[in-house]
Amino acid sequence: METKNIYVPEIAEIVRAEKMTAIEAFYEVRLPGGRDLGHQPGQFVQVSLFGIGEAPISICSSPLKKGSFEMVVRRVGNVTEALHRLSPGDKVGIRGPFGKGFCTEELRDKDVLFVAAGLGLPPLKSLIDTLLDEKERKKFGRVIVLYGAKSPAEFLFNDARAAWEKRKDIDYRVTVDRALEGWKGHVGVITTLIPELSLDLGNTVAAICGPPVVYKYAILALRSKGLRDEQIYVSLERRMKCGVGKCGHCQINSIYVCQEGPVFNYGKIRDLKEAIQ
Amino acid sequence: MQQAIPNDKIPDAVSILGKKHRVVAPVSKGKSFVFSAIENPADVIIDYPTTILPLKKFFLPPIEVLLHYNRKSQAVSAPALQAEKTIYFGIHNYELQGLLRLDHAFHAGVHDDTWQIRRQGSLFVGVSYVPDEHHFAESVGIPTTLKEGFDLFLTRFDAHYRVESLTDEGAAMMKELAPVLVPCECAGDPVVHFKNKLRQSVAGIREIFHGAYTHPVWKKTARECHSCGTCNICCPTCYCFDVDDQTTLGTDEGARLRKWDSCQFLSFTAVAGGEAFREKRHDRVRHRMSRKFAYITDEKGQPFCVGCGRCVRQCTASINIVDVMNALL
Repeated sequence: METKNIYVPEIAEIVRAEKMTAIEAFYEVRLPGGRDLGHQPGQFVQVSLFGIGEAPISICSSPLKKGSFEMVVRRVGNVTEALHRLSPGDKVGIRGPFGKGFCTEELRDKDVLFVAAGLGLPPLKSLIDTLLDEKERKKFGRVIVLYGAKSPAEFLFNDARAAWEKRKDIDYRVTVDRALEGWKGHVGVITTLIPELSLDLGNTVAAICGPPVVYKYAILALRSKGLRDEQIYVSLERRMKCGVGKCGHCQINSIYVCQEGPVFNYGKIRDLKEAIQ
Repeated sequence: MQQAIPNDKIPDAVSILGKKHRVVAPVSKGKSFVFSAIENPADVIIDYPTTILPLKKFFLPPIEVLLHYNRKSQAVSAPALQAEKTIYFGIHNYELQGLLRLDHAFHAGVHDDTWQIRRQGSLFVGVSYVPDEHHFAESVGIPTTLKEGFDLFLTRFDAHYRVESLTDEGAAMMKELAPVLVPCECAGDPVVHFKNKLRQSVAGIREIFHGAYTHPVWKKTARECHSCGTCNICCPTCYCFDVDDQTTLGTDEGARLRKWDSCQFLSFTAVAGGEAFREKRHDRVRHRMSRKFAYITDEKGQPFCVGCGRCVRQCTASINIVDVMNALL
């Protein structure tokens, strides 16, 4: 009997590789024949380098982008360290997309508020790009993007953010934890941007992604603004090793994040212990 | 009239069954017992307390190749798995219940065919057992009389094992065994008593677990636990694994390996960068127990513990899972 092995990746090609910061790099990846990945915003892939291993990486491009997909990789472990040495033309293994992302149909006509801290921006950018797409934009309400980084040296997507600054149909606000010389913008952690927002409370959905410490405080700030837990989505990081709900590493209590997440409606996981620290 | 195999004819029975198929059965290893493919039928000992590792090792090997790769050419291929028809002989009923639980785990959601392929062509000859001080199968809904999943079942009476056929495959084996069968009058099942047992039936345990997240027993147990992972390794229903690439030295050829892992290790939940999501030992102790009695039970309707007692026997800190449970009940 021929084995249908769910662990065998497809071989894809890196078509673009750009350094973004001291530790983050951007990759555009093309599947064989330019086939679309067919992902939902918020989903992830397992990226393989044979001899090194596999790592779960969020997809940062919109599903509307055809022929290739994009991701941002922080150099932080064995696989990502090796990924940073790759150039256009190099090959990587891809499995996925995995998990549950954002359902754009549910966001129809809604105002969407993004709370993106640090490396939390790439997973959300997949949805931001989808909402801002020329043909799609009128299907959604306001797009508000709050973005925070430790310092300006750690900013990601400088070109895309420069475009957001200019666009009238997006309310983009940025902050840094620590100002460097020359920084004229807002200073403070990302939650300090929330109180000043004016929101249509009945029609707003928020999406949070960032380091573990951010969720608790962002949720508190959104709640005190008047949002209900059911209006808040969180994208959670866990050790997603197999991607198919077997290996156990990504489990939060009974939930396999690689199957039921990484994007969760906060109202549904509010009582799930271990989810938010 | 029923039929039986005299005790001294067990090796002959194994020899007969081994003519056609591979036979796996318990054999002694030092003072313990292990399941092993049988070359010499005289090695088989079916009167044994339990084995060091459960039968899962034949279907989810401790280390197995998921795929072969060449890191230069990027050629990648999965090993062609073939199920070798195997008779698992002298198996206690909780053991087979463990496999049935894992059938669920590997089929639920995304199918993992590697398990399925290895399970094809397995036949099971069960044997009754007398519980020792560790077994607690009855407490988790597996009385010694349960024969679910077996093709043949041997029940120990004084000088012989009564043989019952439970499937067509079992009937075929019974025909082959005709030369060693003798008539017997051995009705009913022997009465056994479990010394290790839960204070209440398994029925309400799930609810109790859901309300016991902050119970002091987790911290108390964690003070004794060494997080060595033995309980996971010897558990018939633990199946968590890690994946690791190994390239052959001096070549570009290698294999991606699946290895048994333990949720008791701090590294189990650690993501790149060092953040771990069950940092405290008591969180890990609770997680393992909750997986057994609440999380998967919610989905499957049965506990993912079969009461084999291996984790009690082999715990390096002498923790008895039944004592931990009884503290909650």
